[in-house]
Amino acid sequence: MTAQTAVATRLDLSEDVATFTREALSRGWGDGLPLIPPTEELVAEFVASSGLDAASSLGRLYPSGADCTVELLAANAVMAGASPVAMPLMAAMVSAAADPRFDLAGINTTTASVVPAFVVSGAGRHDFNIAYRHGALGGAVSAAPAIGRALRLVMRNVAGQVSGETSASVFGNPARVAGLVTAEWEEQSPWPSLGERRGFSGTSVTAFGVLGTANIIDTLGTDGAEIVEVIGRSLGYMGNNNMDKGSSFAHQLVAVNPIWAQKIHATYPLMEDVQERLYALSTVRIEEFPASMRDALVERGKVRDGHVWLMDSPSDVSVIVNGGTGNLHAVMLPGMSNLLPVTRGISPADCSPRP
Amino acid sequence: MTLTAMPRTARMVVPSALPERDRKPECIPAGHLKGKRVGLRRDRFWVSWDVITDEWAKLLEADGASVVFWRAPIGKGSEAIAAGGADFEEFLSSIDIAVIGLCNCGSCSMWAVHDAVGALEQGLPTVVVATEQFEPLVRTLAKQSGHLQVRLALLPYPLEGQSEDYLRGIARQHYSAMLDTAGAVRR
Repeated sequence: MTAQTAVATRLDLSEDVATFTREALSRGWGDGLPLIPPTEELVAEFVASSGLDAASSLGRLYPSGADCTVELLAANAVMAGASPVAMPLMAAMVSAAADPRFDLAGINTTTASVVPAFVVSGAGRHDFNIAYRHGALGGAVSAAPAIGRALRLVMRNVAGQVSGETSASVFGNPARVAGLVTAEWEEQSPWPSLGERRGFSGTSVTAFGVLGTANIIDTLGTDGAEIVEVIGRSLGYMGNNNMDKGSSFAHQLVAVNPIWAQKIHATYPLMEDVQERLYALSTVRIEEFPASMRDALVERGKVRDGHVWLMDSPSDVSVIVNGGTGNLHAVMLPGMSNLLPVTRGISPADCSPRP
Repeated sequence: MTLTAMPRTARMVVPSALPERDRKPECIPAGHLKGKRVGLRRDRFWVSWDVITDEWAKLLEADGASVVFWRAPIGKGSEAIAAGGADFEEFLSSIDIAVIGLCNCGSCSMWAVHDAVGALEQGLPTVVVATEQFEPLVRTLAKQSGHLQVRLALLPYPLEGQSEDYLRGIARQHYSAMLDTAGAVRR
């Protein structure tokens, strides 16, 4: 059952975008970009589109510990310029981020540059207009930046994440402005979608805690085994959060272009085989680490067979297929320590807080 | 004559909902140390904190207190384990004074403050330990929980990566200040 909380406060403010934006910034509601005034009428339209009650809680967000109601999400989504059509998706995104397995408290306060990244699976990718071809992670014209920005404003205004105050993030992340929302090019993927692999047959969204994006290039890319080797060796690097003594576990995300996906599939027909190979390849010899780090890594159980292991098991990496057909590249999104990806189906029932 | 149009106003839904917390009672002082059981909360992040608490344990025992160590777990997907669970409750019930650290990064500060609030809500004299860089964050997080005047002992930054001799020296140097912050009386 969905928890009920109080309705949001109302204020009479200017409808003019520039005037409202200045007022909102002075109240700490903005990110520096123009904001669309969240009038009662607009917010009501967004709430109606969610299929949920305005006062329903989507979950408690940290560090503030505030309940994010559907109405609060709607107000932030209006300000961000999102479409009301995306409300069911955004509600599921908030619900996933609020799941304790996702450790939003850590994400929103850490010194690291982590940001929630969301991958949409299923037919809803088209309805919500999420990019999955060229520029899938940013740059393509789509609804994703506004949806991502809505979630970023929720983090600011409901979760209470404020740089230099509650967030100690040293550098932040470009995706802390317009988020990181993408989808899979499922029609080009030789494997079941990420959502299906995580047990959701319809449209779903999966939240990952990622520390950014980094390109992986292989201009030869002759076969799947070589491509997977380049990806796996790239994943395991000394400065990865999960190669630090302070990290107990982390989940890695890899985006592979459709051309490479077909080549990899020819070598490794099952996704489990790809994961197994990436798990085995993403290690670094302990001798390569500075001497001052070695004892602590051994003590914390991160060293086996003379290597520091990035992953505890093959299931600690997810591979998605998207991006353009230009070949040549994959992208790794290294995972933040001590949190797990969380998936939600896109329906009101799936957005209710878990007991 | 020129008419300047005034911007129209409308009723807006306020997008922010940062909760107003009830102001919690101030933390009681630790009082006389002799005969008390002091709980030292460790984490899985900072080797330097292990060394400092090891040194403080010796000093506390020399002052007539006994020491209980507890290492905060990291629960892989378990909210109960991440929050400490039954193990944390047992730790709190076994001590008279809580020393909670180390606030030396963002997420570890969040969890240390979380555990300090747990100790405070059990009515335990509690001192949070942070490195200087993280004082503002710790105070903000404590305020969000209603603890406006958290007892916060500061250590220099950086600690991690320093030699054991240096860390033991820092521990001895800051021991009295930590006790003063806790409101502890040595004799």
